[in-house]
Amino acid sequence: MFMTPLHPVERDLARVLREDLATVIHADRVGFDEMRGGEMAGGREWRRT
Amino acid sequence: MKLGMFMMPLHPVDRDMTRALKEDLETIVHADRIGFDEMWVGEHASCLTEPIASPLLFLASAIHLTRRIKLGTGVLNLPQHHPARAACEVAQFDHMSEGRLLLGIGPGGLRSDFELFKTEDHAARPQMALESIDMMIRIWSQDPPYQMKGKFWDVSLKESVIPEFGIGWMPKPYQKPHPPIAMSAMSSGSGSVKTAGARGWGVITAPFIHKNMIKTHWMALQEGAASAGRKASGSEWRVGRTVVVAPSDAEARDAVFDPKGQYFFYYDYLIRQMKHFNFAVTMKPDASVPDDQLTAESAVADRVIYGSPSRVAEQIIALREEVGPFGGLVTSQHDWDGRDFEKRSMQLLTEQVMPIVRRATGVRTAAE
Repeated sequence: MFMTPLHPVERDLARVLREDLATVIHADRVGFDEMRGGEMAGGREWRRT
Repeated sequence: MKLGMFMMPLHPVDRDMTRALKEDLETIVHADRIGFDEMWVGEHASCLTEPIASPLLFLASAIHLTRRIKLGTGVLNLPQHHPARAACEVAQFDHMSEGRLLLGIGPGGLRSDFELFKTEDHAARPQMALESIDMMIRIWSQDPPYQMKGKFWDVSLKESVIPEFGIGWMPKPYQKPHPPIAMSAMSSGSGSVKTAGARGWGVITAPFIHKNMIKTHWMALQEGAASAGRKASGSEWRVGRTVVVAPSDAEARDAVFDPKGQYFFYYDYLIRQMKHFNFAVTMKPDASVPDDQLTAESAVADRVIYGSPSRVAEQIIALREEVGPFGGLVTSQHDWDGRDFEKRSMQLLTEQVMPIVRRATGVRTAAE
């Protein structure tokens, strides 16, 4: 799975990070082989630094 | 009084890195379970004995394994990071931990890292650290465009700001206006302490400096605060010491003075390293003491607080009366060669020593 991640601009950052982490854990449980997270320093929508 | 732990970490050079990191993480989980308030983790990019290159990366692995312990960088060596990079990573961590980050900052302390990152100018490093943290605070306090020109770094982001796509905004921390900032100090009358006092930041006195030097930090903190028209508070000051607790004085003493034990290893290593870099003065009672009189045994005897719970509590209370009203005690973490002993020592410290200390000093933990 590729996780940009991309969220609506008004979403709470702490919450979206928690949900993104839950996605990684779920992917591991259900059998995904890889998870790739993006890197963006300056973006209100692309929140992973 | 807050209780914290400083995890350099320091391990024997031949320890397996994966295992050392796993044990260091287990130490944080244990500390959280038994009631430590804070964990501070160091940053060293080029040292086999100190294997954590990124405290934020390491501490992130502890966020969801712990419940309440604050997670601190001890410290983030700011001359080695671009301020924009440091600002966004700190902000992200603060959100990931939902406000449990303590931001320890400093100029760096490892000689090989200075060479690696080309920060060998001793006079410039503290200036770099201050310029960096000021830029980080500015980044957190505003929306784009960002335009900062410093002596060491430029931060500029104005041409690529596209509100429609949310592009060009840097994240702000979860804690407002930013996580609590603290500086570490290991020299007498440290300039870092004065700066921290003037800026209203916390101070952490390194656990391995000689006791005679500790009180100079309280004096410098007061001086720095006064220069900014503030009155220093002991709550801004944490003092590091190695604290070893066992059911009996004799058992603690045997462990502390075991030439093959983790406490001897820790101080022997630090003394040899500091002598090598001509920096042993920080570990001496005064500068006139010759290097050859500084031994692991003398270091352990001078700066390790050890004994039964009541005996350790007495020593902590006496230390506070002697050096000044510190509001936090930060014990040093040690290699888990003596795993069960170390875990029990931590537990005796939280469960039996600190209640006595807090009753005697009237300084309670933040949670209380």
